[in-house]
This record gives sequence, C-alpha cells and structure tokens, in this order.
Amino acid sequence: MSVNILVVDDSSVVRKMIVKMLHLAGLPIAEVYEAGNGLEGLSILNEYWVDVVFADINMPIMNGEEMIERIRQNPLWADLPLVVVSTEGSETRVNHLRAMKARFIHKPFAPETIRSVVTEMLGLCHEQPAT
Amino acid sequence: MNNRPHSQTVSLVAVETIEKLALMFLVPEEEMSDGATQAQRAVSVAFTGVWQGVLFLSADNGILPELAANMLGYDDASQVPPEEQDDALRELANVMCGNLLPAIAGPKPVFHISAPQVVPEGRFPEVFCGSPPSGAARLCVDSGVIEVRLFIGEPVAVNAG
Repeated sequence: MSVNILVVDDSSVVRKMIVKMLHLAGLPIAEVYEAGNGLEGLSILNEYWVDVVFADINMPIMNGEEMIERIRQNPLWADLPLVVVSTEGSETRVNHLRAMKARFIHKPFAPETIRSVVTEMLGLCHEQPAT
Repeated sequence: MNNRPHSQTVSLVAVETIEKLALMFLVPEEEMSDGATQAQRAVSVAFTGVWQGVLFLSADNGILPELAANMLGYDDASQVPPEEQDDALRELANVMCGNLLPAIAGPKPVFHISAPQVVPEGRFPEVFCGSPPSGAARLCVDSGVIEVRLFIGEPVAVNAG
C-alpha cells in the first residue's frame, strides 16, 4: 500500500525537511502534496485523496489548530490521520491538539519517529526500509 | 554567583538540536578544519509568555551550506541557494528556542515564538535591553563555530482579572 501525504507548513524549508524525513523513514509514499497554510491544506484535501496530514501550528491565513478543527467537523475527514509537527512545548496546547485526535511529533525528530507514527496510524506493517 | 544560570541548558538543547536536525556533530575546537571562516550569519528569535526575551544564534559562514544541505536533503552542499541557507539557520533557531523555553520554564507555560529574523550585521550583542545573556553556548563543528545566546527579560505582567 502506498500512501498520499499532505504537508502543511508556511516554511518551505520545513516542508522540505519533513519530505526528506518521510523518504529517509522508508515509508511507501505515492504522492506528497504541499500547502503553505491551513486554507491551502483544506483545498488540497477537497481535491485529492490524502492518507496522512502533517501540519504546523503557527501559520498565516489559517493556523494549524483551525485547520484541524475544520477537518474534524467534516464527516468525510473525521478519522483522517493528522500529525502535528512542532516545537510546541506547552502541555496545554498539546493536549488541545490531542483532544482533536491529532498525533504530535516534537521537533527535532528522527526518521524512525515519523515511521513509527505513520505505520501505527495507518496500520502498516513494520518492515525495515531497504538499506 | 552564576550570572549565566541557563548556560548548561542552552548548551544541552543546542547540541541536541544541531545533532538531530542538522546531523552535525561537535568536535574539540583544535580539531576544526583550517578553512573555518570568521564571517558569521546570525538570526534572532523573539518570544513572549511568562517571560519575554530573545534567542540569538550565529554560525560561521562556512558551516551554512553543509548545515542547510543536511537539513533539506541536498546531496551537494554547494547547490544550496543562499536564501535556503538562511532559512535553514532560521529553522534551527526556531527549534532551539521552542525546546529551550519548556526546558527552563517547565511544561505548563505557553509561549508565543515569533518568526526568526536574520540579524543584518551578522553578529549579536553582548548586552540586550540592558541585560547580559542568561545563557550562552559556543559549539564547534568541523567547519566552524556556532554560538547561542539567550536573553530573558522581565516577567510579563499578567492581569488577575
């Protein structure tokens, strides 16, 4: 099974870093879509099939929390796997995100972390990437 | 009296961030390459919350291509455009700041971290808003020096009502 991934972050550098980590993690990736804010992210979700969303919190136009709230309000996306990738260290904010069924990956992170989270969320088998 | 009470935390967080995010490892200063440059690029990250302050991060120019290539997945460091080198340094500072604040303040407080900015003159101050840094670290990698300074200002007044 190959997965389609959406990366939502206002920094093109961070989007590149996440895509690099996804490839290093050896995940079976089909398509990677990128968006610069929550509104663009929702637009891509409306247009393409996405298996997992990686999102930042602080973004212009529409931040990550609002995007996640809107995703969860849509019955089609109620169970869409969401991963927030952030330096956020506040338990208050992290718990709010978890309450919306979002997983949280704290930066900096290793490829193994991203692999573990995605395989668990999608129920993929834990095959080691080819070396 | 320790006038830089957070230097050990600054150093620990900076080392972990550089190793994990930029895949660069520390070397003793005498083992740095001869080609290490003196010119530096610097960025600052301002934050507000239970305290306000700013984190400054600088790196010798010679470090930036490798740092950015490692962070962004370029095979050839010479191919990384200068603007992406700045972006990589900004992201490194952002992650350092985001990890430093809870390491010092604990997990409960909420901070707002502003977008990192390039410091035009390339060097950061010894004193900021009348205060010396409350934490600092000087770290050597093969191709140069990375320096971090954390300035913490007065606590932000919180309205009880």
